[in-house]
Amino acid sequence: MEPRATGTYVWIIRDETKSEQSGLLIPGPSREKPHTGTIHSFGDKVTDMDIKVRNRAIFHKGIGQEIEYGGKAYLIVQEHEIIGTDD
Amino acid sequence: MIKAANSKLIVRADPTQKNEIKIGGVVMTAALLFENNYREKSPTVGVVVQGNECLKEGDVALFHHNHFYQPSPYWIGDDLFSVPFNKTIFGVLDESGNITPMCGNIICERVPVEYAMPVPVEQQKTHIDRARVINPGQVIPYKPGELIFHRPHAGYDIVYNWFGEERRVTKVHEDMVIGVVG
Repeated sequence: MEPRATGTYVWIIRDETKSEQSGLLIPGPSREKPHTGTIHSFGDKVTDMDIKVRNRAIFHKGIGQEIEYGGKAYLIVQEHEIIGTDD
Repeated sequence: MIKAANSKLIVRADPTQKNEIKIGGVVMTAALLFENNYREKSPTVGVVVQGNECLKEGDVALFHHNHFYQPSPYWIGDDLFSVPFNKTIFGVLDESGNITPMCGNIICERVPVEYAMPVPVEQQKTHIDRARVINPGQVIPYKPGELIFHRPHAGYDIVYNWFGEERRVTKVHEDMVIGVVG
């Protein structure tokens, strides 16, 4: 069973961290996490029509709540914290 | 006769209701004066004296522990309090002391963390961001047994005494729910 969002929340699967361009490997916790991802689900109170499942989303850095479930990591943000979408 | 204003309820609460607690059949007298946990020591059960369309006169309800702890801004004299009707009213207790949630509260149980290795019971923890629904009350979208995700630490433990017996439940308010499995 897949989790789904409620209310004004949007569940995002964050993009994977890429290697540094310089070629240096940086340990996971020190690596900057990308602030882009794919929308997994959104709640029934989300009003922005551009927020759709499988659309890509750009969001503010350092926001949201991270949840791990069923072997996947999700980032949960509120609708207003998404600053751009792209299909 | 005092009447409640601003859609408040008048409630009667016994300030000594947690003085005696029965744990495992043993009645213990609690030194509440020295207990620093307000949730443990403060009275939470009240009887409605003047109600509204949801809570009738004589209903026994469970309130937030701050309502009846003195000096309380809701105190109007003797053992009477005028409390607001909002999410700080957790639910109504039936004859057996079980709670039916109201005002958007959902009665849940905490979900234990699964460990890859055996861990002693006293070291085991519960998730801070998820709970399993026991009684959703009037919150329609959720069903008993469903797993809900909520804001970190939104699960709130309620401790109350029912005829001397200590009971504990966990509640989550519907505004704090961010997702559901199903």
